[in-house]
Amino acid sequence: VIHHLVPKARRLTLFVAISLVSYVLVLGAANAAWITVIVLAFIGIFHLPVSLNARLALLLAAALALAFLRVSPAVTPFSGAIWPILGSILMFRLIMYWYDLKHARKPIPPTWSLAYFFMVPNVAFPLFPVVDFSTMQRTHYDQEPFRIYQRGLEWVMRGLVHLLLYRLVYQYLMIAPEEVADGTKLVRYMLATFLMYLRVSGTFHVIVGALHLYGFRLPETHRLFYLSTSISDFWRRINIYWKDFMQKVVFLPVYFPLRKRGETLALVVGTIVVFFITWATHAYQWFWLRGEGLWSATDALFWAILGVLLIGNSLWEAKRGRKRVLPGAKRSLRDALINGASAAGVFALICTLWTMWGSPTFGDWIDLMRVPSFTLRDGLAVAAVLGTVFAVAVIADLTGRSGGDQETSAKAPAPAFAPHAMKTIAALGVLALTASPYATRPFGTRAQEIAREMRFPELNKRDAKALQRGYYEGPAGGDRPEPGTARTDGRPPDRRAGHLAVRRAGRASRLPRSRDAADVGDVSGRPVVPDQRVRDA
Amino acid sequence: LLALRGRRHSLVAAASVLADLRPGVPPAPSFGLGQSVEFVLGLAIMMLGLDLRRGEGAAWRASLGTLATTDGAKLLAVGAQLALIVFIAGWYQIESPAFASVGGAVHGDSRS
Repeated sequence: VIHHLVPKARRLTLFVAISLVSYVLVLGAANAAWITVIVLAFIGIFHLPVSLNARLALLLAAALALAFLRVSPAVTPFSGAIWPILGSILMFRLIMYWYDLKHARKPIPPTWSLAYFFMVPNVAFPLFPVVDFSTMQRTHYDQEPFRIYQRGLEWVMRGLVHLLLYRLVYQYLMIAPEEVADGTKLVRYMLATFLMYLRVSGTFHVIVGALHLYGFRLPETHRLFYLSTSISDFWRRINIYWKDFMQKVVFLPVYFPLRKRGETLALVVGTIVVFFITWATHAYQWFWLRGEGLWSATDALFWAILGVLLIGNSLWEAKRGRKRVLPGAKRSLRDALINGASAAGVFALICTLWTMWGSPTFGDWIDLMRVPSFTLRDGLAVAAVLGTVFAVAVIADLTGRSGGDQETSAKAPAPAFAPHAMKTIAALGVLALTASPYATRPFGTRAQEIAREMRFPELNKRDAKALQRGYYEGPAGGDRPEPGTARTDGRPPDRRAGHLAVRRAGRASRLPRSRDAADVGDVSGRPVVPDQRVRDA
Repeated sequence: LLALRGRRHSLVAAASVLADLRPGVPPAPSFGLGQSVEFVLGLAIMMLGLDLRRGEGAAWRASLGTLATTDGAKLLAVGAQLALIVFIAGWYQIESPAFASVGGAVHGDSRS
């Protein structure tokens, strides 16, 4: 609100000031100073009046020095807790900045460089969407301000809903792999594993929504990805910023030079390179955020399978033509039903792949999928899940919502502000009341218990068990699981402590320490003070 | 108001609002709404002071003048929604776990 009252010409400066001061407030003056100096040094290298090769060499040397410090806490002159933030600021934004600097028609003002690298939400969210620098500049207050703010508020609200749904999934749907004893439990486990991604989509919505409040009309980060109707559609809807980043800095630079040799070759090679880089950069991201490598066969296999499926789908689309649905276009029931069936099929496929991605080894995943028998009840569980996806997809298609929030051009006429604001206020009011004791009292003690559990981020039974194991097995209790802990890349939690590893090793009495437990603690890898409100512990 | 009365006052006001940021004062373990408003207001006042010093107060008058138009009502609606969001996030204790742990690790506070 205060930001809006500042003259338009000063708003970007105020945004930079707010961002910089936020780092001081959250991390302390010394740590904020370190972050600022390091980031400024990297930005400075980009602008040195030396040759391109010299600048690249300097950047590489600086990055290697930083990587050395990342794995050498003893010689690091600042708190290890700032690494995730520092890594998050630099790891992809440097690439994007470099690309845009190279293609910029005019010099980039210093205020914009600072605004891009020090975006205020980054101080609270180390897992940050890869914001496109040129889009950020282009869309800054390119529409009527209140229209931008309103969209941001709606996205923040949507993010909160995702995060609350994630909490429900974490508390009530997610089970430990050792509990997967029949088909129904397997369906539940697979569904929960995929739904855990709501945490990432919720966080990204909150981040981009918050940036809207400073006038940055950035595009959507996720678009109804659970209703994707093909693998290509899934790639286009989930983590859209990543897809755009890969397309801009990897796919197109590979695709265009190869196009002379044929469209198919260019498309196939470009996609292979994209998926290889995506796989490698996930490990790279893991290193900067957590200070350790991420090398697993299931991780590589996941990206390889997804890449192959995407190539197949893209070639099919290239041959037959991609069916695009224009916003507002009338949809027939037949089209909607076909889309619904496709969405259910893709959902089942991604659930399966996602479960494999979360398994420590391929063998563990095969063990998990091998349930003793598959009964009619199990079949009904599958039908219920896929039927729900089908029904929601059909409804979304018929009501014109399947495309998500349609991107509007800067010049499009603004919708009325008041109805949107009233709708959001009403929805937020309902959300605020949902877990209120007054609202849940008529529904009995169970409803009150659920409402209470929704309010307090507690460990679910699976993680509580892992915590107990940690106390007895670790030399000093080890790291503690943190409520709602998921991997920072949105992957499902690793199941190293699960029965699968035990079953395979045949050493039930010596459970390996949970990877979940290793995943937790604070983002710097230090042990954290455990939350005492452990549910059922 | 101090800012509108004169440049020196504005800088004094900004300095007092930003007093929390002086070196040696540890940041608060939790990052509250009050503190956010305080420091954003402090920064805005400081910018206003600098602009007044340069004789560029007209843009501020125009900008603040919009409060008396429909923009004022819209801003109120935006503020109301933000307040509800902050309330919900607080009620459900929604925060980035990383944020909590970073703050905790840096300041050594308990995150109970």
